[in-house]
Amino acid sequence: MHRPLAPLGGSVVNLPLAHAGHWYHVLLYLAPILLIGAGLWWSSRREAKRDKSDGSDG
Amino acid sequence: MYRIRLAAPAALLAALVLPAQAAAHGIGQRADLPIPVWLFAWAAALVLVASFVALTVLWPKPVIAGLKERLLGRAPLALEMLAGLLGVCGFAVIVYAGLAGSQTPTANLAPTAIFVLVWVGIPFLSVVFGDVFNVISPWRAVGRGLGWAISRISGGLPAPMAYPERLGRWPAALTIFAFAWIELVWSGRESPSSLAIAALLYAAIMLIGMSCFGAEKWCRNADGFGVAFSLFALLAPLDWEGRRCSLRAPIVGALKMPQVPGSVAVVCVMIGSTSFDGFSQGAIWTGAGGLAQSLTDSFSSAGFSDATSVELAYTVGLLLIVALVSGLYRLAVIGMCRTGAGKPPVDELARSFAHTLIPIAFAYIVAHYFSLLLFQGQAAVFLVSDPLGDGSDIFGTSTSAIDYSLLGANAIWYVQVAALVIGHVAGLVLAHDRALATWADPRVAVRSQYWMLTVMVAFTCIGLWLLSAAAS
Repeated sequence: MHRPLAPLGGSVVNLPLAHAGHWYHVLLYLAPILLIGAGLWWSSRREAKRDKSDGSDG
Repeated sequence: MYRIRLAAPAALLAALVLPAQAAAHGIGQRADLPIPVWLFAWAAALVLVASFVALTVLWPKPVIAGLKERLLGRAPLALEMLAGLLGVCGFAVIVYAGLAGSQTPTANLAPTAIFVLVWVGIPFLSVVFGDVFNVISPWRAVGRGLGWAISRISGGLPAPMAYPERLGRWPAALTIFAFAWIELVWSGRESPSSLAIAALLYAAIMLIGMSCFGAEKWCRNADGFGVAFSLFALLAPLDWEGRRCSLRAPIVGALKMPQVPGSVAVVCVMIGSTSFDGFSQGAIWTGAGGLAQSLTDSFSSAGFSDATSVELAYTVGLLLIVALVSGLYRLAVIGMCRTGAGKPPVDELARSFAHTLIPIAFAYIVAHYFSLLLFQGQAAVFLVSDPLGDGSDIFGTSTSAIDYSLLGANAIWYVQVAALVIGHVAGLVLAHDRALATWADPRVAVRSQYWMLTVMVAFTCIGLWLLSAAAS
């Protein structure tokens, strides 16, 4: 996972992706947060629109 | 080549779906779980969503504020005095052991007493029996005792100075941060004598503060330990007002959390410092080329010594995680604020909902330190017999040992997951009830809590990730 590239200007450069093993699993924990957050945001917008249209109807 | 192309995604997939291992925090056991750890996060998120839906349907108006307490009785004054005396004696023994005893941390009573019995043990006692620290607090007992003695001799005490209301609980938040820094960052944390000196310094600051502003006012605002433990005590079914004891439903006491400046900071620092403890054991922080290494290198190249660079790197990490937790909570409050009509100011709303974080702070303590208390707590049995680590055997228990078979790693993991889920559901319940009391329209109140639900799911998933990261 920790694979240095060819020296560049005398220093060793590590691609961020080379450390993917450290962080890829974080995405699995982030997924429910993003899914629920997006779902609630969409639902909130829809309800706000419905309230507005109910108000203008009345 | 084709095989290699197939092998990489296959390995990744296997890593994702195969049952994972999780370690009990601080103790080197590993759980052998039937499903991957991340699936627990998904399941916990689903539980929170289901709880939210149930609250929306079954809890249409605020009820917690209307719940009555039942008076159980009064504790005798002698018991309070005895508890204070025990606290002072315990403090004296810990400090003496730290200063005069062996400087091997595991052989000396001081580190285990401070980091395990007090910092982790008292929250557990508080959520069951109420504010126990208030009666055993050594500085409060000494301050009150001295105040009583001086007023008897001189015929009265001068009136204390007015505590600056603007300060609120900010001194307590700073104290908790400082303690977390000592526990997680300071290189001298394993030295019993350094810990004893720090404890003496803290006691001196407390005594000076109490003499200026009065024991009760100072302890309720500036004593980080007293404030933190009193917050956990709000979750207890026993409510102590002075020596009067009443019975109430669990967690509902959280509504009594004072809405003063710094009250949000106190809970955010508690959650953030516990989170950093887990995060600092994971690969992202400690791994080769991890954040800790990068930060340490940066400080080293700026001319700091190696030891100072490590401390600075960890300080930055601790600050960042506390800021992240505070930021997430602030995001939820801003979202709530934008939801409906009659928007209260953000700061007011932040304080008004701060009590919903108390069960989460306790859940994080259970999740991260339950195994530490369970196993290292047993060390107290032999350490009280030999507090200095000099081979004495005062109570005949110095030869006892820690029983690591007391609870299996799987059972510990399930306790940790249950604590996180129950803590966040309790937070949702408190937030839902407060929202119904804040917004007249129940639909607006429910919609305002979409943000809180998202943040609760975030705290739960982050909590489980931290536990799994500490195991990796």
